[in-house]
Amino acid sequence: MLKIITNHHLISLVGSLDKNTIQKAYYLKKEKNMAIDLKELKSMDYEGALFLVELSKNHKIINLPPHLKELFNFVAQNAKDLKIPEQKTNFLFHATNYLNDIFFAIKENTINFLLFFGEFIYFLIFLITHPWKFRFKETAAIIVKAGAGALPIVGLTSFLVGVVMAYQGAMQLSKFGANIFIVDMLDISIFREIAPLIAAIVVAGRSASAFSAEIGVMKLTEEIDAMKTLGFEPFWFLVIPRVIAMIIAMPLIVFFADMIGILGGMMISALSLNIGFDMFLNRTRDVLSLTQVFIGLGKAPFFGIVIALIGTYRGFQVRNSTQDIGKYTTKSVVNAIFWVIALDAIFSIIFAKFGI
Amino acid sequence: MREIIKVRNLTTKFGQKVVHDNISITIYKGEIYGILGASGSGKSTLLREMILLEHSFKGLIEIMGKDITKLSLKEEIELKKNWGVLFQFGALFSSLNVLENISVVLEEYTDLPEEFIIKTAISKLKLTGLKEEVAYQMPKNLSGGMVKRAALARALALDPKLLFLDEPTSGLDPVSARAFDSLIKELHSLFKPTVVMVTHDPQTIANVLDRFCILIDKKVVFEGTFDEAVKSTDKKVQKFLKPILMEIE
Repeated sequence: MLKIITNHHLISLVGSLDKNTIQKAYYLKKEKNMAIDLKELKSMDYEGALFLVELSKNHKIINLPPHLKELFNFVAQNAKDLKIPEQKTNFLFHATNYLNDIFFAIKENTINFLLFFGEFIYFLIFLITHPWKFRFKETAAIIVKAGAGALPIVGLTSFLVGVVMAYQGAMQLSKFGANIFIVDMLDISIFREIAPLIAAIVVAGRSASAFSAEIGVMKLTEEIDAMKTLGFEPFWFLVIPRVIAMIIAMPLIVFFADMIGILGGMMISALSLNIGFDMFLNRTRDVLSLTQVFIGLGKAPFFGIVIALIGTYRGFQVRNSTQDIGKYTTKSVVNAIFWVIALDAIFSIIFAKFGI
Repeated sequence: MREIIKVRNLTTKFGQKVVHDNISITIYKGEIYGILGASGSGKSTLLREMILLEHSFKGLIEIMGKDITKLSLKEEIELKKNWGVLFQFGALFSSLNVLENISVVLEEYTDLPEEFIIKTAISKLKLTGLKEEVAYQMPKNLSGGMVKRAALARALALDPKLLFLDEPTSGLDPVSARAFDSLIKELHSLFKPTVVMVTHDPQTIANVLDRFCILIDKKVVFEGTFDEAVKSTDKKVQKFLKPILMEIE
């Protein structure tokens, strides 16, 4: 507790001057030329002493009790030339700084990714010339984790998408009595576009983030540096297995998504359009060419490469702070999903040009 | 002397692994106390148990007369305001700059005016030997020694009665380590907190600690002053002290 007794120009502080009671006496800072009597001051802490030092600039401190002298002198010494460094708050400075940062980031990012891609090509050639050095065990483990592990959620998602598409299609087609065309619609759209895209987006969300976070944490704990010093090229040990694993796993995931998506469509066709499974499958044999299936499956490895490369690239960008992990994991997922969709669009244009 | 921390019959198990087997130590008010032992002997675990970060133990830990297993949330916070902790790698909040790392504590627990909080935080920063210019830097841009000093400034923010230090000099060069030692001694003589530290550093053990305990094979094999330890006839204590004595000669 602190009591302040004012008597004209004499102010007595009674009790304890500490961080919880300074508030009460803070008004004294605005006043000038008073005598502050500390005879009755029982105790003070660091903040209290600092406050007294501040007060002593405009006031006269008298009767400082001997047992508080040491602390007061120490704090006075420490705070003697205390200056609060200024933070630059100029708006123009901030704005130009911000723009500069953005352009710098874009430039940096482009160069970095090109370097990363170059390294990827280099190690791809290394892989072709030294296939026996390939890390089979790691790759298999990643296929299980990122590939087989994704099946439940990919299955569920493509089943639901199949159901939704069949429902929407059924409503329109039954108006024209063109029920059977539901099979054409589902077969071609699911095999060629929907299943690969849905599978790739789900895997991008799952695995691109996982890759970034794994590698990011390894960077923070200096594991990557440790690998480098031991002569283990991180790119060869971390990136190539993930890329190869995704190249192998993606077509399989897409094929799984194809099957489950069609199953969802088939069930709705049977329920609401009276097209039984046998009729559906017979019609499928007539309308679905292998080209359509292979176009869908053929895109999958490229999606896999994009997901693995972006995931690992963002992971390597993590530098010395935990916040970076969140930042780059987010970036990797957003980038991976965007590039999967962009790549799909590019494929569409290419296939359209060639008339496939 | 009044005891400030009392550990009695403490047994810690992580699954099947026994870390502490029925240990007891006493820390008195105002002393600098060390928890020593080989790597993996459970020193840090013991420290973490005292500061309420680890709960998988049986037995009694009493801090300032309160059994720490029987605290309400409010009592826990009241107790925590009495101590400052310096983590081995600083553990500065990476999203805040150095100044904010210190001032956030004062902002949370006191009603001091903003400008005074900044002034206090900067002066605590100087207290630990850092320059004012460091104030607006982010922790990731600091060197190891600076991180430790900044973290110590944060630990000192509330003028703690109890200061826990986890390997304060590890990772520092000898000059910085000795400077850190004398900083701790200076702060101790000024504010008279009770300091509890986990350390490996022979110089720190010989020159800074008032009393210490040695943890070997899940047990406390020794508790007392450095001179007492040197005179001890216990084989384990002698074996533990040998490299330390060689180092400080």
